[in-house]
Amino acid sequence: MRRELLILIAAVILALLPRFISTYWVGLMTQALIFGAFAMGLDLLVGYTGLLSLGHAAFFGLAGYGAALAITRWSLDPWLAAGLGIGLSVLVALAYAPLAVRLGGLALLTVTLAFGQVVWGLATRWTTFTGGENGVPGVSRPVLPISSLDIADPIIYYWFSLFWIVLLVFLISRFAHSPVGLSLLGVRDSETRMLALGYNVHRRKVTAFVVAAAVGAVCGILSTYFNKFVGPGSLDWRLSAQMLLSVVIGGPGSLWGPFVAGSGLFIIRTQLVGETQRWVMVLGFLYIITVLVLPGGLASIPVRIRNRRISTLPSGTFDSTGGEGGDV
Amino acid sequence: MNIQFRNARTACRTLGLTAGLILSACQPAQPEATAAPPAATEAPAPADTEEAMVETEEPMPTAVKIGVLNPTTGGLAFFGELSNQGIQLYFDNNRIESVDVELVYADTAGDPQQALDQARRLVEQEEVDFLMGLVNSAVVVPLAQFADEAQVPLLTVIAGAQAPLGPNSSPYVFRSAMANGQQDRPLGWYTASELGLTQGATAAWDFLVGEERAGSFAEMFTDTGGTILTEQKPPLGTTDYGPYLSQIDPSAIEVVYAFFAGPGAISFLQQMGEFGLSPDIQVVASGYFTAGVLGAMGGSAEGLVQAAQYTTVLDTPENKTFLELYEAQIGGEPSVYVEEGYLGAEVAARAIESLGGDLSDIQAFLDALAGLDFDGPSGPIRFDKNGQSVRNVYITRVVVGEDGTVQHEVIYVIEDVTLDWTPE
Repeated sequence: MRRELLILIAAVILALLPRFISTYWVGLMTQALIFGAFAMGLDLLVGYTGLLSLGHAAFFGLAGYGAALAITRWSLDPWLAAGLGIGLSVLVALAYAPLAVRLGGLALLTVTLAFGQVVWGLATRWTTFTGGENGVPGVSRPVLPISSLDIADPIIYYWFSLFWIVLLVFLISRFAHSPVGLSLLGVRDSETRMLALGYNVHRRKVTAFVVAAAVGAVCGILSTYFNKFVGPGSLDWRLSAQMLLSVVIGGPGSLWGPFVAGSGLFIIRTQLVGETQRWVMVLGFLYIITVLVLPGGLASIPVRIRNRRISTLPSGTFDSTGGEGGDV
Repeated sequence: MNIQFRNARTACRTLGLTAGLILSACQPAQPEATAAPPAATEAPAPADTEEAMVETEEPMPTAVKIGVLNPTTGGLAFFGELSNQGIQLYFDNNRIESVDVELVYADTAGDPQQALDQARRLVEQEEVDFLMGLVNSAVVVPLAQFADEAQVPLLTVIAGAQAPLGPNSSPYVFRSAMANGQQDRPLGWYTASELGLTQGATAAWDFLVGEERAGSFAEMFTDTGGTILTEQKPPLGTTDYGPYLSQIDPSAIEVVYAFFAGPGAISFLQQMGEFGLSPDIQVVASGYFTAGVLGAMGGSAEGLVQAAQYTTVLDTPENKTFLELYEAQIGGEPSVYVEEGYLGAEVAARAIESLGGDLSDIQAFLDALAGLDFDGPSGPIRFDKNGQSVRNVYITRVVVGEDGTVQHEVIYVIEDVTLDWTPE
């Protein structure tokens, strides 16, 4: 109940935000929220289940490409196209996950990376269908059922994205705290014990993989409609890496941490480019500092504050890294 | 635990300080260019004192803000930096009367998504009057769409992707650079007709630009009576061409069209020699083949025929001015990327000047761009109705001097080349 209330409060604050910020920042926030939700979904796989993936941009981009091609090539309605794109992503994830999650650790990292590159290669090389490096421009946004709301307006599109993202966050949170979600933590902590307890570990892993892919797919659709364009960049392994980094910096397993990190890093990155030519270096230092100072990620901040307050108590009582700060 | 915390906080403070220092040290390498304000007017004529007072006041210069989008990080940083250098060189040395030009640089990193984000930042936050730059073709299509929707003029300076400047192109998009194929079509005709070589092969990196360029060459080459016997498509960035060169049969093929750049172009020519293909097989190339690497190619480039939009050996006053400016400010011989940046800046500056710096009417600015017709360092330039530049193509041959220096030599000039150029 407390969680739902927090999500609701955050949603209301975010919904009122456009009253106080410029149009540019509304656009920036729209994208920040999209990347935040994407990182949050990935956290279900990385932080919750303990499976590292460097290929989830593939599902982000696949959905975007699916929708964009359906709209531009077959003039499908954007609503239907979105469903098609997400469906495509989920189907591919369903087919690939059972194979991929047999592996763990670095091997999984490698096969997900390889998979991502295959999809990327398809998008860049199948020029006649996907437009190659040019990508797919001219993607139209869906028409809202309420005719007075024009989705071309940045603020309306912000609210449109916010609606879906709040829904996503709510669903992710419900899923994470459901028996299935909690059993994922079990898989992460001790696979053998979960097996001994009679859980189908393989199926749990597949579930986590596909759910993360589905969240990525929805974000991919929102991003494609925002840009009215999709290109190979949305399938790039660098996007996967950026999301993985957001999970690490946010605090794996905390869900809200990766969301904040995913959003924040996007904003910092975009604004930093305008401040200095050496933005890559500054960003790198930022990562290193965060990891050094906050090994548990952003999510460990509340735990640290709490720990400090009661640090007069005998040490060892509290978890100093606070990997799951948000859920304590 | 307490100690741990103290450590962490000290570490935080130290690192924060370090980061601050780094940040302050990381000021943009290129200072924001601001053309000097116009000099104070001369002493007033002895007339009505009040009127004279008004006259002596400096007229407020109109401010023009240009967003320059080029990659300065990532694999294309080298080309982006050179292009920026050219733009800066022009505005540093050419003042537009009573106009303050401010350049705001942003890094695309060669990535369409980041290019879009930065274009939005420049237009919506920095409130630039128009955008220019763009090195790689992949960012052109999304940015052309953005420019069209945001109604912001976009001047493409290097990237040549054909897509955004077709018949249905946006009125907001202009390109001072030549499009992919605009040099390759004349080269195809020249090779088959003037050089008389009709049995050909193409070898181009397997990506959009290579496809458009080699495709255009092949089209005109076959139209002029040539035959393409094999098309080789090594992946982008290849430097080992062994498997591809073995497909080229020296007994059947007379000419190879090559589209590579940088180290890839150097090793292609060297391996042509190692495979015993040159000098029997003529190599023809276009655009950026020798840009910045002619010296490194050395003798292996001898006899190379190239269709170029610019070469430093052009003997025109405009080129002389450009070379002198470059020599004075940077030194050495400019690469074609610098020249293209410089040319783009001149295009922008001339359009701004014709409006007296008042860019409030976007349509007037677009009309001014469309109406341009002047001689730049690379010769005459004007725009067709789609906003694509129409320029000269110089067919050059690489000659090796007695002292071993390698140099281009212009052997043929094709004037007024449009994107759909055909021989008369």
